[in-house]
Amino acid sequence: MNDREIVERIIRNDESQLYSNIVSRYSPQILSKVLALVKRRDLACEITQQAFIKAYTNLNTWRGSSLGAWINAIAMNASLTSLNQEKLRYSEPIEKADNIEREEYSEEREQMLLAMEKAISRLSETDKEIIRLHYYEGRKTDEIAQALGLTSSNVLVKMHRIRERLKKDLKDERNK
Amino acid sequence: MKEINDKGLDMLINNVFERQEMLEEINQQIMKTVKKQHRKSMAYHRLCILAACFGIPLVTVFLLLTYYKVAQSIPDSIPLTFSIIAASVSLIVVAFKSFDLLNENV
Repeated sequence: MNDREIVERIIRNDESQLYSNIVSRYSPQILSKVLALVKRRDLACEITQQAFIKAYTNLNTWRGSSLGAWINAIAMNASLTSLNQEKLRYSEPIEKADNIEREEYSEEREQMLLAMEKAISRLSETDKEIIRLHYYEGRKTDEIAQALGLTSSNVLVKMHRIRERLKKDLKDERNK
Repeated sequence: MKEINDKGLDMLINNVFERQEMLEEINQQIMKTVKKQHRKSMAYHRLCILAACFGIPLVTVFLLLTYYKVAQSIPDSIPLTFSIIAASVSLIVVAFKSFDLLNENV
């Protein structure tokens, strides 16, 4: 279903649950862009949420151009407004604040993230869990083995294979 | 896309999981708010229907009753006739507009 059909169904038939398709379609890219601009995860999450909610409330004013670009414009405006407010609130420039993470947005990085997401989604559930526990939760091999009922050597071998597979998938995506 | 080294790969995997969690949370929050707004607007429209169905007849009855009572004490009053015509016209306009609104939203 394309964006226009979804929006028409939301407006005409009140099928608000269809909005989740729009959200999952555009939120990764918009979140990355907002994060690159405001440089704070909590603020980026809040602005992305606000932008999608504002877009939903004003869906009937959408003129049928690219929906992603429209929501992106709303998010960028909200980010700039928020940055201005932050600058007014603190005398210290936002770029020098302590707890900020410096992540620059680039189409290439976004593509790599998407390619990696795709590659991870193709893994089996056990493999996904292994890399999630290791890379995201920072658990050690023994702990992963215990959590999943495997031996430590088995986890090590699996991790090596998963990494190789992800590398290969990423390379294939790059060569496309 | 450029070539990626081992450290970069580790970081990319980590970023994917971090982002997935953030996105899940964002998506849940958005849909929660959207559902809330939807429920609110449905409740508002139901209230509008109730107001249109019971409010307009009630006002009409009140208007006619007042006219009847005043006409009994002052028969053949021209200002009274004009005021009742004006009230009836505005009532008809309000009724049409509210039914139009209901048709648009229900």
